[in-house]
Amino acid sequence: MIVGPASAQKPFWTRRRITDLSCGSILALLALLGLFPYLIALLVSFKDDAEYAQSAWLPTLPFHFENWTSAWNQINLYWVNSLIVAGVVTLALLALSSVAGFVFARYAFPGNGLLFFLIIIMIAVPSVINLVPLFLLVKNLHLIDTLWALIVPYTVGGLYPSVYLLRNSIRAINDEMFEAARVDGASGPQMYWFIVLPLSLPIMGTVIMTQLTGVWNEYIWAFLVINDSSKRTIGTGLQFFTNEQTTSFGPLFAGYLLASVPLLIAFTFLSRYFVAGIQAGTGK
Amino acid sequence: MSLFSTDIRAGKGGRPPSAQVTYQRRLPFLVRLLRAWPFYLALAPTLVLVGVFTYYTTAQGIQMSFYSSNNESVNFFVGLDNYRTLLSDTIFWNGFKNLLKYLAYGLTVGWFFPFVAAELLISLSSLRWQLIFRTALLLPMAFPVAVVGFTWQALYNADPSNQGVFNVILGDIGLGGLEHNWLGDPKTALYCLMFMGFPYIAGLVFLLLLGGLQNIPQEILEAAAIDGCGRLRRIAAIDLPLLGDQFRLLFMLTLIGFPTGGAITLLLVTNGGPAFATMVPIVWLIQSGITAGNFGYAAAMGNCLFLIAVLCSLLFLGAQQLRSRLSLALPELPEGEGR
Repeated sequence: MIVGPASAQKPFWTRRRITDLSCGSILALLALLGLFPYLIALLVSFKDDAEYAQSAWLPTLPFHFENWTSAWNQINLYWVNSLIVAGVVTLALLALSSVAGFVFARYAFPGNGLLFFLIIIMIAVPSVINLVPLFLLVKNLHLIDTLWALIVPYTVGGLYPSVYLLRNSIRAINDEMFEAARVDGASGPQMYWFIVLPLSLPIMGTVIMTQLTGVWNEYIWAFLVINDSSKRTIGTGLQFFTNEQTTSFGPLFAGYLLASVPLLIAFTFLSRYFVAGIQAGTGK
Repeated sequence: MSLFSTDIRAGKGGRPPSAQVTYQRRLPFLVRLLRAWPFYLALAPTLVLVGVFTYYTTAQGIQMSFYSSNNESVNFFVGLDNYRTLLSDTIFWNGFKNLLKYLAYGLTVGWFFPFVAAELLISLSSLRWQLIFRTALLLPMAFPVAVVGFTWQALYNADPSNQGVFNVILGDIGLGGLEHNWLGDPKTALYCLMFMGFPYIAGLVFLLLLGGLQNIPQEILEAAAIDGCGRLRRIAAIDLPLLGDQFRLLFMLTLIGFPTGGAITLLLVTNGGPAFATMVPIVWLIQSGITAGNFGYAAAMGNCLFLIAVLCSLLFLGAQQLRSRLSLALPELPEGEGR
């Protein structure tokens, strides 16, 4: 990895430069291929029908920003619903899993190992076995077509990896910290509030990102339990939006891109947690 | 309060267990159980949620699969009838043919491009450019699944008055003869679904393989370079063997997810494709089971898919065991890397 200063005698086409340029150009091509659908979507989102007919994949003037405003008017509801669901699920998960993680990690009591095992074994159990009975339970609780039908099952599904992550990270906290707090007469809840919570912030970032991407990506369950158009989240909402927008591509693509904005923001500014969240979600 | 503060688990990190803990262990089980009530109280919300929405429902699902129900209020015990019907449900089992195609494609093409991209990325000499390309390659990951599906659907669109971009481009470059109703033709629909997301770099496979490659110790690579080991030789002799753990983990995850895969078809061609060409078991479960109200039958399908997933992972674990036994039987080869 040591790169010397380029001296005058050195030829321009060093071996390293050739490697860099060839690898870099292939990588650029691969990145372009991966982003191709979204670049096309971005281009087309500014076109009206006449401009699309004129050229589907080259930019044309004038830009039609009204595609974006009309799309926003149709999908902002799904955005808000998804944010509500993701917010409630995340808060519930952080509260439940940090308390459970603390108790599992720091205290000895009968059943500690067994209860923890019963929770984390579910990471490896395919959730399909639960699909039908869970649907019936939610239906019998009269939660169909309410956001609770999404919030409760998402929270339960998120508990398995979150409890596992929180418990392991709390276990890794230095014993001396708790020892010192105990000597100073701190109670369990105090240790939870002043030691566990502040030190668990990074792992909580991972949990938050996992839930945000999870709620934005989940489709099958939302498809089953939400029919009311005012309760749709991003996945099922876009399905409805697509069926409505059959005639022109401009607003359609603008809507798709708008639906992606929260995840794109998270990816840009919280890339570390985003990637950690993807990897933490490998269990499911 | 005193319970919270005295029960701190001791003995972690090599410290000898404190006297208090030893004393606690001698208490009778029932006393320990009663004295631990604050912990059970703290765990109660989590345990109740998991108990009701996972364990109770799973038990219900197993029970339900032995009942017939046209809607949830009419239930008859039918024994194994649901499973018997399932065995002769050709649509369900034909769905596995599609899944196997997905699997074969995913394990070859779906792993090839991420591996190539990871190798190319670590070959760059500038860390800054590595980071830039890594971000660009991972960016498609930030689009929601529904957006990915619907964007590709719009690109494939073949409505004559509203041609999708793929057909327009084919026409523009003089290949109008290749224009096609991509998702509408049973012959091409499945392959078009597979092609979605090409080149499949933005995802877990790339992340894990890249992490693995970046963790290969520099000394090994330098020693190999001194021995005159070229780029391709290095991939075959060093990189691939050292990525064993990553490949095993990915394979395991693929197998667990295999029986419930292909759900994206639900999004795009809601009836499992033209003429069932893209039907997969999970979509059939939802259509013929849940949407149609045959909950007992749907539960049987779910249990069957679950069993297949468990069998797949057991098979994999068994193969792992066999492999480690065999490698124990073989003499250890001397390692040339000096590590």
